[in-house]
Amino acid sequence: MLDIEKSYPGSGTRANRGACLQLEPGRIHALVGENGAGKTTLMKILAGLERPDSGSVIVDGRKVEFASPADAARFGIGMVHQHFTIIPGFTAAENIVFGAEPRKAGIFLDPASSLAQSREEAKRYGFSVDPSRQASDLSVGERQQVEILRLLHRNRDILILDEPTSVLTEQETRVFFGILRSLADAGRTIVLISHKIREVLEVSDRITVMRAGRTLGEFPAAGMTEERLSALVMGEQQAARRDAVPGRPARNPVLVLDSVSLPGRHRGPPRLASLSLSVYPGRILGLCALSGNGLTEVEDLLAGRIRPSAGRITYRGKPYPRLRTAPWTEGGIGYVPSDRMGRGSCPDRPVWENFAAVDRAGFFPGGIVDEGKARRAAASALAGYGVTVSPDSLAGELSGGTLQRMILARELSDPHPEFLFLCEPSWGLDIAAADSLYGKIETLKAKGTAILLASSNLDEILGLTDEIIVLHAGRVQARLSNAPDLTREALGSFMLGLTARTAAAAAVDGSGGV
Amino acid sequence: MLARNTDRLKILAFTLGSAALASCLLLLASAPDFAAALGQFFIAPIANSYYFGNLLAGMGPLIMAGLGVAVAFASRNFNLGGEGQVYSGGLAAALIPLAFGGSSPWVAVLAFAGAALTGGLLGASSGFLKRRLGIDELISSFLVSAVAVLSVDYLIAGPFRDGTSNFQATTPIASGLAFAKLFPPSSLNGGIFIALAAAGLGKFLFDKTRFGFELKLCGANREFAAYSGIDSGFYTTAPMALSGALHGLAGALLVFGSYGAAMKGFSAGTGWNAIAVALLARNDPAALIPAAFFYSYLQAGAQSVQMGSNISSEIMAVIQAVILLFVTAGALPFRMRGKGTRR
Repeated sequence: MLDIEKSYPGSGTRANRGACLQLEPGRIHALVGENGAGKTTLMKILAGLERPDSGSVIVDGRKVEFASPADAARFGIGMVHQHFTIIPGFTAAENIVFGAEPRKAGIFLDPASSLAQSREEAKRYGFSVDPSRQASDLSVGERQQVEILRLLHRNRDILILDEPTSVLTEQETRVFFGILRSLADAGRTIVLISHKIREVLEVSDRITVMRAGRTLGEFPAAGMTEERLSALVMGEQQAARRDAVPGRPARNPVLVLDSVSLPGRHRGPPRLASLSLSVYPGRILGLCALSGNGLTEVEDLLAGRIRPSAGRITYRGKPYPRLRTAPWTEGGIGYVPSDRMGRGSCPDRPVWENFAAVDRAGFFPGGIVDEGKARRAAASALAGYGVTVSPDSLAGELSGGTLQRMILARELSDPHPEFLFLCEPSWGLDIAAADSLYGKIETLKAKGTAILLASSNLDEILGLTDEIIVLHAGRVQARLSNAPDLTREALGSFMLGLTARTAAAAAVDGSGGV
Repeated sequence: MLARNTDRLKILAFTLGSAALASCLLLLASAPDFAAALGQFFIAPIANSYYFGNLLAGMGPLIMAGLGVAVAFASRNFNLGGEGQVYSGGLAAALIPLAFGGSSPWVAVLAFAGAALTGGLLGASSGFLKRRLGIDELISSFLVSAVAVLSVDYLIAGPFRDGTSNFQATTPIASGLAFAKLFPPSSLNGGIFIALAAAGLGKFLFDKTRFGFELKLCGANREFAAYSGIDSGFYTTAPMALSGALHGLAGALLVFGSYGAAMKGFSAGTGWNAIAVALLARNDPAALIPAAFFYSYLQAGAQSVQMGSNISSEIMAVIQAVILLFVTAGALPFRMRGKGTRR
């Protein structure tokens, strides 16, 4: 790709200004840069989703022009987006073969060989997803595997992966990198869009750095250091690892889960087995687990999507509210969901409506909309997060990081919320934006907000929380009080179920049970 | 947003253009005198005051029922029971004045309320079944409506038939109750103003009120609506009930405006035509008015061709169906694109 230029006239952004990228077969290329550096736009051009204003794309020495993803597909180029396109009513296998199904006599669908082929492909590269399962039952990590398998099923040679590890837990990321390596060894070309410096250094062969729409250059991963790469990405030195600030003493929990259980699907093991936890004012409780181990279920319970089959959830001593009220109202709950497109926003509606939606009582005084108030509230909350999009732009047109900041701006806009439930809050944020978010979370904690943090980012868990609960197979694998000597590796081993510790934290926590 | 609207207009122009072309071809194939038929189809409805009056008269029930379809569609509930709701709502509107007698305006109000209630109950039943038992409202509303149509047929032809008349119809309502004809001999009547007011009210409800906002949000993304604290179950039952009620009112408009009684088969596809109108208007209550005008124009044109040229009503029904097909197809790209652009 040579001298790619791309502007979006609607928002006036110049996403790519003379960007260049060179890909070699059998290599893992990383494309790194901050939010809005133009990584995704450049890759969308390669995948045929966007057309460049100028510049050329050359494949095997031939200049090509892609008018659609189908054109790019003819050259074996396929992309996995940050937002997945899984059909929930289909099985994983049906999703994988969809559009390129194996057929009997060239006409009839052949479900048996769809399943067999999907299983075979999954096994060959070490995927853990079971292709016979219903897609709606899959965890986010497994959905991503389905997306990749879908491209492999179509024999794509160049795989573009947009922030693939943002949804994966530590151990899944290990497995995932193993898959990438075996794909590269098999001669496929991988492009990894990322801003996780450590992972990029670990997995990639060559690194292309982007800043403000330009490519700064291509560097071999061997010999590159974390410090130098983050300096290239940020244009400045990165802050050191943070240590958690101690919280208030644990008294008068805001949220209590008391022996909450969920039965398994299809007579499987229970999805949650007698989970108890309490979230206290001025303290942060961290929740972590590999995907498919109960974290999604906890989120769905607190989102009101499902109800426990046994046990109770109480909020300030009363039953947990069935319908959420806005975080800035009395007893309101701030909730940043892990699924930002499906649950956390409405892509087809403008930004101001995405704000107004969570507080209809406030923005519809007397039942009639006060659009001016909603637009102002949205604009001022967004400004606090350095987002300058118009409140009238559609939420679905925002980039991933901007959308996440819109959700954060909405859910954290109260100066003193009572309870915050944060799921993967730094998803899609660059280092600077994540740091500023952590500062905000700590300020709220100091003001006495009770915070439940569910995250697959272990640095985040270790850097922010007072206590940590690790779930494994729907059970509490470890209750820990956070201390500087607690390591990522230790947490990882709990998450894998290799070690267990459930008694230690009870001694720290005066009221019994974290 | 602006680009979106121009796209929309382009597709609309293309849709209407191809529909007109297709109907011309069919006329060419079937009309003995093509030029005359063309004139009767496209010009007469606006040039001839009788047909123009009928054209405007036809808009009222289409707008009202179209609003009913839009309320359901906007919340992503599909009410296919419009026909039965119009028909049974109309029957209620025809029977209530007979039960009370007199021609006090309150009787008319009561009759309309009864029509809304009847249609509303039919619609709500499907909404309730979907919410409680997860039964697809598209299927259940269609089936309930099919039963309703046959039951109303029976009631009109049997227990409530006016014995003094040769028609299969109920006893006519008092002449002081029926809407005044504005433009005789065409059937244009005061009901059009009620429909226009309803469209205006619907526009306000959709764009300015909390109810409309929550309803549309449930239609756009139910998961996000639930996350925001909206009781999404309520927005399954309520839009279906409201949709049924509006269809019932459309039936009352037909009885009070055009027929003066419930005649067998008087709904004449209004419930189905309203779906085309709502699709054409893309569920925008204000756009229902031009959409209903267009649809009614086609019907007036068809009526005029049938009388003027010797073309069977079946051919005209085929032409209308072809136009409907184009209109429905024109509505599809937006639905699909709405899904496709999600990143």
